[in-house]
Amino acid sequence: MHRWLGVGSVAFVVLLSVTGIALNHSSDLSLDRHYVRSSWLLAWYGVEVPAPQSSFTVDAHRVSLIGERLYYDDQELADRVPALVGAVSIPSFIAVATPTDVLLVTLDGSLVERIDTQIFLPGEITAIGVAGAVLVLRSGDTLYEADEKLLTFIPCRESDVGEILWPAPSAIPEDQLAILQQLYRGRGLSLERLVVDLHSGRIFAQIGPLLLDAVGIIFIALSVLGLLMWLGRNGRSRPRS
Amino acid sequence: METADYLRAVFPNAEPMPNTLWVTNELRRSAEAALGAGIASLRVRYWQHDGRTAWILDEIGKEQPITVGVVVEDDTASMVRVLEFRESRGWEVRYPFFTDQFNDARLNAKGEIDLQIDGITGATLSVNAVTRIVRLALFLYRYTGEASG
Repeated sequence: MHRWLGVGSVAFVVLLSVTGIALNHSSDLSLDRHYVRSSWLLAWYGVEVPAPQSSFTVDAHRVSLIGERLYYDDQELADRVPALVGAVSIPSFIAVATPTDVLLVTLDGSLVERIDTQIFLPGEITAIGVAGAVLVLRSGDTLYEADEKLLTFIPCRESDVGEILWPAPSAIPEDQLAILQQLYRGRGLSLERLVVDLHSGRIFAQIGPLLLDAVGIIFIALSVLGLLMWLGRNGRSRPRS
Repeated sequence: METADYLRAVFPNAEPMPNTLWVTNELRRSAEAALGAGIASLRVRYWQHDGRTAWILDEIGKEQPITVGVVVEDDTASMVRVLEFRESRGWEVRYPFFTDQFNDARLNAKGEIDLQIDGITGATLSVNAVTRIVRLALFLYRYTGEASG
């Protein structure tokens, strides 16, 4: 029986050993920063892509929000973005507004700065626009214009800045949407989470931990049986006086 | 604590001037050489008044960024405050018993904090993130001083 239990548990020993070692070195391996790309695994975990919340065309580029992830063309620009208010082109940059931040982006998609506008505005940003080369924000009933260096925002009147163009959202073309959905799913499940679930059995939902409990009991049985067998052999091998 | 509240606490009787530091390749390389850490954005914002500067910087703890405010004056750090903590663990770094350890901290020749900073069990990544931010703020303060002559 010991032999059959041993043979039967080889796969579990290897699985638990490999996942255990991986978890011990999770930081060194950066398991939390690598993501599962397998479609069937993502489907198993139920990783779904939310519908795009909004998207804006800015010159030849597109800024889109899916879930809480902001994309500039097909690059992820930022996360923790609750809503996309709008995006405009200003000299040398693209300015993207969320309710509380303005993200300044270079034309090739590099993040210059995520400006916390709550330092300057009493409320949330409700619209972003451009008047000539001047960036304008709306918060409540008040307009704010950015200074030349994009350091501060000060209250202004429309008569001060001239005609303001407020961008309107547009739908993402199907082919671009497919790419963004693939990008989104690709960051839905970290390797660390997968390894933890494999180690604990939770990858198989509720039955998994029970199965691993049974395997644990088998390991205990193997150890006890093995010890008894060893003691028995030692006892037989001693010469009888 | 909100950023605006932090700035009011740092500059109670003054309207600080916002300023920015462009992260050139040279600065990025210098920071990596001195601190072993990079700078994520292309522009860093800080506030200054009468030689006193305030830096609001982000650093990843385990998975999420931690936003920390640091005052630097005369190459010395003070008023280190965690302004926003987004992780589910390691939140103990928000408390003064931890952040007050950085008062009067300076950078030594190796680019490290010259004070003994006690860690917090179970919050190592958050402790390391806050420490990196303080080091970066001290480094950038020195860089602006050098840049302005």
